[in-house]
Parts: sequence; structure tokens; C-alpha cells
Amino acid sequence: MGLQQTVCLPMLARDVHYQNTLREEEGAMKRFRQLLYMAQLVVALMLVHSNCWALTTFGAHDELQLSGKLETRFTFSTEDREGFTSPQVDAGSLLQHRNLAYVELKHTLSPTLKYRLVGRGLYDGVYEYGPDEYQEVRKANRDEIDDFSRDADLWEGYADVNVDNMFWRIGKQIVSWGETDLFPMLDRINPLDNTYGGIFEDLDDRRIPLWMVKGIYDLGGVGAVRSLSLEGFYNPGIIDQTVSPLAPAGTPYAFPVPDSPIATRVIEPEDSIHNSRWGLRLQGVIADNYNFSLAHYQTFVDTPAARLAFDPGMVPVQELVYEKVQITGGSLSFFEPHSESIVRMEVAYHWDEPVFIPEINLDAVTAMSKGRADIPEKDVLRFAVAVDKNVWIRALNKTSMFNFTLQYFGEKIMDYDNRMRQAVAVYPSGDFARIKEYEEKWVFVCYTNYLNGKLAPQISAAYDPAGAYLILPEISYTFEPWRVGLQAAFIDGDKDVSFGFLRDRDQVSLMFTLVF
Amino acid sequence: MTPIRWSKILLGLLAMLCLWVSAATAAGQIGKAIDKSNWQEIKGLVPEAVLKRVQEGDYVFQLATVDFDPAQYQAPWILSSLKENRGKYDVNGKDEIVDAKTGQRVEFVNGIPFPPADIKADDPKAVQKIMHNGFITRDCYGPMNTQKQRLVQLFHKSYDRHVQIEYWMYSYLGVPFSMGTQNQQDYENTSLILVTEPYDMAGTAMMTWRYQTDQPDTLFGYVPAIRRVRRMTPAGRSDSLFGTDFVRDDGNWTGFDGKIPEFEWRLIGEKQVLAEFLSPEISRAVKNEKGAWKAEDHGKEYPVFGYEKKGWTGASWWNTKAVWVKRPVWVIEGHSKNPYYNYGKMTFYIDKDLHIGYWKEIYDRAGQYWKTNSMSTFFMQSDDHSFQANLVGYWRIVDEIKNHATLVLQHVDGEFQWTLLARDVAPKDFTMAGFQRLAK
Repeated sequence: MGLQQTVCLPMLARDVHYQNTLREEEGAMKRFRQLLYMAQLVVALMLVHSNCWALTTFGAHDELQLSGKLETRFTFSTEDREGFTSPQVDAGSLLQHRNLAYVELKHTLSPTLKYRLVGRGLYDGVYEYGPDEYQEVRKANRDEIDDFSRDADLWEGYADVNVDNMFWRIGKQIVSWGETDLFPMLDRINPLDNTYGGIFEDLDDRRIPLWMVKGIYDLGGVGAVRSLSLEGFYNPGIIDQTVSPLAPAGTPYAFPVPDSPIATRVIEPEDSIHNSRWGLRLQGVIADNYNFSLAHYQTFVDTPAARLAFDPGMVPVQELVYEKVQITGGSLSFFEPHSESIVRMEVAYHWDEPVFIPEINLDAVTAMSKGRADIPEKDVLRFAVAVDKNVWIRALNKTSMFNFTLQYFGEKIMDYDNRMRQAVAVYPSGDFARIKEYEEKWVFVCYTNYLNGKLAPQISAAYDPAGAYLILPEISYTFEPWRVGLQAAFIDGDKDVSFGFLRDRDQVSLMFTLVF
Repeated sequence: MTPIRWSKILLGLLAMLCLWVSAATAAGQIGKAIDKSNWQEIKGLVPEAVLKRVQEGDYVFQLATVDFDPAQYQAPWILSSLKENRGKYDVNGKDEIVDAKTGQRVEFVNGIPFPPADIKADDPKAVQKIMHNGFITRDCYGPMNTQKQRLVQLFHKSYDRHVQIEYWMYSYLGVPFSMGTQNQQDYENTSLILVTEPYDMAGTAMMTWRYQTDQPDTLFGYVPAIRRVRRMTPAGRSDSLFGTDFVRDDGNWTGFDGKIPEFEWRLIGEKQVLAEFLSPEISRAVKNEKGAWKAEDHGKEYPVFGYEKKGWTGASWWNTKAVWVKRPVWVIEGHSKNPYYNYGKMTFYIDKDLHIGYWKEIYDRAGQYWKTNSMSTFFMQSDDHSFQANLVGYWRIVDEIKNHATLVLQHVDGEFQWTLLARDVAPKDFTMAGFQRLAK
């Protein structure tokens, strides 16, 4: 296989090196800095508000609330891993024993000031007592796997300040824009952590909070538009440039890639003001029914772009580079009275999104002369239309409605180049998968509840007409203070398109959660 | 002893007797208890499904009389509207409130629009007027904030689970406070619900814009799992609320929180029923630090439900400390015009003077009896008598088929959580920006 076939995204080969930013620091130092920022914020709040020393509970204000959850999740494969997936464990193997603890502290200091802190602890034991294959992965790369499989940090921590028509949220937080589920379009502000389940996991569980300032200014009514507001956020690149992490090689949710003798270097954004995320959104309601938003923001693409580079001594290296992108878009949602459904629409134009054209990204001549090959860019238009409808099916449920959602996603690459490929290798040839000028997907979700909300079944499905489908049935049961959940994931496809690359990843998960 | 000492003793005893009598009359008279041994004595005064439960030993009715006129313990502007609004308003073909002379839709009503003296049984719009009164009676006490409202779900003999919410409402009708508030959208009221417990539901929020016209509600939901505000259909008003036995239309003073024009109504007649009073006494109304009115419960613990009371053998959802007072009611039947609405026939028993619906019988679409909704009431008055109010104490809905119930409680953690005329609740809290401030 030539160089072209050995460079694959988004996963790592051996000898991965992270360049820039916090990856070069000790994990503990990173967490210490974050805790220091939060502690400074809390102390500042304490100095401002003299009542905060009284941790008593009287009334809704000046009340401290502590809550959280403990969760353990067992995931088993239901089919043999194959193809480029490594290691190739058998059906029935434990893929994950993920344990999570969330502790949340909310404190309302006054009607205009409150704060919220969420601490998260994580431990996945599969690398220490799971299948031999995963224990070998840990032995080969102990530090990285231990760092990957356990964590404890301040997950979210922010203060809310209300002053007249202005609302500020300052701290580590999540900002979510847009209307669509499962495949986000406008919702790309916070990076996603796909290292422990990807699309099998809830979107909110995957969002990584960022240190930022968010402001919402209430403009009131202007002409025919009601409830008009201007929202902005700023995530300073000198404080937090967290990007979507890559799962270490050999972990259960690493993307399937062939072995490669070439080292991989991940280039994360530097501490720089130029690497800030920022954005503005205008939203309002027209005629008391039409919710609209218009937005523009800058963020980082979750999937790093690949290019060939040569280190001194003409040593080839695969570089994975996190690039900035600017996104302009809007959304519209409204109640349609004849069908009694909610219609949602979203459009997002991604400016200069990095793409993969092997002839450019892996151009050895350019890489030798400049040290690294170029990363081409294209504008991409993404849009979605969705319909939500609640229906009574009394034969199946007398007391709760069935909620149905159908979403259509479209994606068009502007100025399409037929040399474009996906930076993933097709098994067994190793060729890069084709990418079409226009791609589409359908998503369907249905859920209801029984036993006064205690039993909640749901089914989600995604279909790519190019030849892949995903089905996610799940059910949860509540017996206070416990929740038990069972989830399955089935993926299949004739071709290696979109999520079809994960067609050997069928699994079933059992979750136990204690809430307090 | 000298004659003078005897007269002093007699005077003293007489004074004590007067005090005792006056105390007894201020509190009313506690009558007999009705249980499975003498259930026949309240036949016709409660719904049949309730009577059956008395026979089975689930409920015990503590009868009482009160010696105050409950109709006088309403907000001052309600009382003045009983005279000022005589003959002033009517209901048009769209069931909207209109000026009786011009037929034009009104944008503000001070107090209740249809004094009870104006409501006649032979009026084809009598029910609509009664229902409007029910809505606006609630609106008359806004803006309001219930800091903790607990939806407690109960099995027949034990506790199941609960959901706790915080509730805000701004009303545009009824209360002088709202006169002059800009209202180009013709809101009747706007409301917010924020779930605060349990942890996995906390953060879920709903905002509703209710209109004075027949325009459907505009609903927004904040879904913590996706961290976004999502439009919700107003068509699901008969869907279960947070998995409880309540549906969205089961709320409000009357047990009806839907849109009046969306139902067919029939006035069945008038009668007397037993109404649940949280207490035979009048609570003291006090102002909190923000100037909002609140009931001070004199440290009394009420209500006390069966699941909280040791040794109680009846239904877990029964208020063991309630007293029951006869009240005159309108009997109203309603059917949704929407063929997909999950309730069939509903029968309401609404106080003619207080506009509280003490009972609501609910049938399913097949005509089988399904649920019993009931509202309790209590009264409060300030020390200087400048303010008084009559409020719903709590809601209870019993699924008679599943033998399961949900209580919506305002008494939480030993305190009545409802604040009225809450000046820190403003129209801007019910905008998209205001709603997103609740989001996590």
C-alpha cells in the first residue's frame, strides 16, 4: 500500500504525539487551572454577596441545593468485530463498564445572582478487568489508557447574573443552538466527545463544556416580532481551546483504521486569542407562532483534517489538524394547525470547511518542500426539515401520547471536486471512501411512557439512502431513587457510507442509575 | 364569701363563656364524621365514585360549618366587581368576553366579568360565563409564583414518587395590577413551569402563552437532554403531565384549564355538594420581603394525607385533616370537540360564588368512568382586612381504574409556597430570553 492508503482519519496509528496546548501539560495541571478559575469566580461572588456564607435553606432564594446521580453502564458487543476494527473481540465481549458520578450544587444568592457547579467523576474498568484484548491495549499504552478511562473534574461551573434586560452566564458551560437532533448542524459550538459511544450516546452527554461568557439581551417586541433577543457567546482561546478528543487506538469506539507504519501527530489549537470561539444569534417570534433564529459563529470542526508532513530527516508523519470554521445559519419552527404538528427547519452554511482530497492532502511533493501538505477547503451547505407530531394510539397506551419525529437532513458540497474522499479506509482494499456532492439522511424517533411515567420506551432510527441504517431501541424503568435502562444498537449497510463504517459495532447496554 | 365575690366570679364565668362561644363561632362548628358506617348521610353531596370509597373505608368526611361568608373572602377587586360589572359584559359566538352594549371584545376586565347574580340557568352562554369566571378568579391573584409545588404520585396505600416544580404566572385580566400592561398579543396569561426534582428531570421547563381569543396556546419546552428550547404542540392538552395522573387541562380553579371554545357545554343544573376546606379557620395573610402576599399557617400542619399519617388505613391520598362544608354549585357537563381528546364526558361542580370546582368527574372516550378530580379551598385575610383571598389549597386526581392518584401540593416543607401579587414577576420573564434564563 502506498502512502495514500496508510493515512486514515480520524483515528491514530501508533506513536501518537499531541502538539500544542493543554495536551502537553500534565492532566492534573489542566484540572488545577480550571478549578482555580472557578474558585476565583466563586470567591468573587462571595465578596460581592454578603449572604453567601449562610448555607441554610429557607425559601427559594439563598438556598443551597445538592443533587446528582451515580451511574454504571455495562456494554456488550452482539457481533464479532471485524474489518479494520482492532482489537477484534468476539460477540458477547464486554466493551465498556463505564461508571459516572455527577454531583451538582446550585445556589441562588439573590433574584439576580446564582451559580451552578457540576463535578463529574468517570471510571471505565474494561481495560483492567475486561476482555484480554483490552487489557493488552492498556499494557501497551498504560498512561494514555489510564488517562482516557478515568477522570474527575469540574464539568460545568458558571454564575448567572440578571441585570434588567441583560442576562449573563459566565463560566464553564454548554451553548446549544439549532433545531435538529442526532446530526447537529447549527449545534457545533461545544466539541463532542465521541470516544465512548459516539452516536449511541445522548448528544448532551457527549457535549464538552467550555469556559465562556454568554449574554442574552432581551429586545422585547419590535414591530411584528415579539420576544426578540440577541444572544452572544465568547470562548477565549487563551483560556480554553478544547476540541473533540480522539479515542486512543485499540479502544472499543475507536474508528476502524488499518495498521500504519507512519506516526500520527495531532495538532490541537494553540493558546491564542485567534483560536477563540465566538458567535451571535438573533431570535424572536413572529405572529406568536413562528420562532426564528439567525446566527453566525466561529468554532472548531470536531473531526481533524489530515495531511501528510515530513519531519527533519524526511520522516513522514500523518498530521491531524483541528481547523476553525465559521458557520452562518438560521432556523424556523412553528405549529401547523391542520396537522397539529410542529414543523422545524434549520440551515447552516459552513464556510471553508476542511475537506480531504488525497491528491492535495497527501501530496508528497508539497509536503517535502513546505514541510506539510495543504488542506483544501470547501463551503458546505447543510439543512434539515423535521416534523414532530403527538398521536393517541389508545390500543397501545390509554394515558400517554406517542411522540413521533421525522427529520430529513441534506448536505451539499459547494464547488464539488470529484476527487474528494472521506479520510477513512474501506475494508479490505484500504481505498478511501467516496463522498458525493449531495448526501442525505432520514431520522425517525418515537417515544411514549407507561406506569405514570416510570416505564419509558423509545426507538430511534437513522437511514442513509446511500446504503446504511442505524436502529436504537431503548427502554428505561424508574423505581425511586433508581433508574434501570436497556439500550441496543444495530447498524448495517451495504456500503461504507456515513455510520455504515461502524456496521460491526452492534451492542447492547444495561444501565443502573441512582439519583439523589 | 361575700355577695360581691360571687358576682365577680359569675361575671368572670360569663366572660369566659362569651369568649368560648365567640371562638367557637369564629372557627365554625365541627360536625360529625362520615365513614363507612354512615355513608348514606352524604349521598348526593359527593360524586358516586367518592361515595363508593367512603363505603369501602378509603375516605372519612369530617363535616363542618363555618360562620363566615366564604363569598366575602375574595380579593377586594373581585368583591367590588360583583356590583360594578353587573350587566357590563357578555360572551360572543366565539366565547370571547365582549362589552354587553357594543359587542366589542374587551381587552381588560377588572375583577370577575360575570357576577353570580347575572348568571341565569336559562342563559345559553351561562356555562361559558361560569368558566370565564373560573379563569379570571385565578388571574385576579396574579402575578404569582409558587416556589415549590409538589406533584406527589401515590399508590392506593403508599407513596409512589414525586416531581417538584416551580411555577410563575403573569395575568393580564382581573387584577388592577395588570391594568395598563402592554398587551398587543391579547394574552390572558403567561406561565412558566420549571421542574426542580428529581435530578434526571430537573431543568425541564414549559412556557405557555394563553390568549383571550380562540387562538391556540403557544407552548415552548426546554429539554435538558438537548439543551434547547423546543416548540411544543398545544394539541396535547389531554396528554399526561410529567407522567402523572393529571393532564394539562385538569388544572386551574375549576379543574378545567383548556380553551372554552374547544368544548361543547351543557348546564345540568344547581345543587349542594360537600366542599373540602383545608381548615375551618381563616389563615393570616402576610406580605413577604418582596411585598407579595402569602398565607401564614399559624404553624399548623395541614393538609396531612393518609400516606403521611401513622395508622391511617384509608386511601393514601386522602386529606385526614380536611373539613367538609356544604356549598352551592353549578353542575356543568363538557365534551371536547376534538375527536382525539383523551377524555370523554366531564362533569364539573363549580362553586356559584367562589368559582372553585370542588369535583370533576371524568369519563374515558368509551364512556367508562375513569378519574375524579377535586380541589380544596382555603381563605386568608390580612390583619388590617385590606386584603383577603380564597385560593385552591391543593388539587387531587384519582385514577379510579388504576387505583392511583396524584396530588398537586402548595404546602411543601411545612410552608405554603404560593405568593400572590408577586411584583418581581414581570412580563419580560415570559419571553424567549426570560425562558432561556431558566435553562441549564
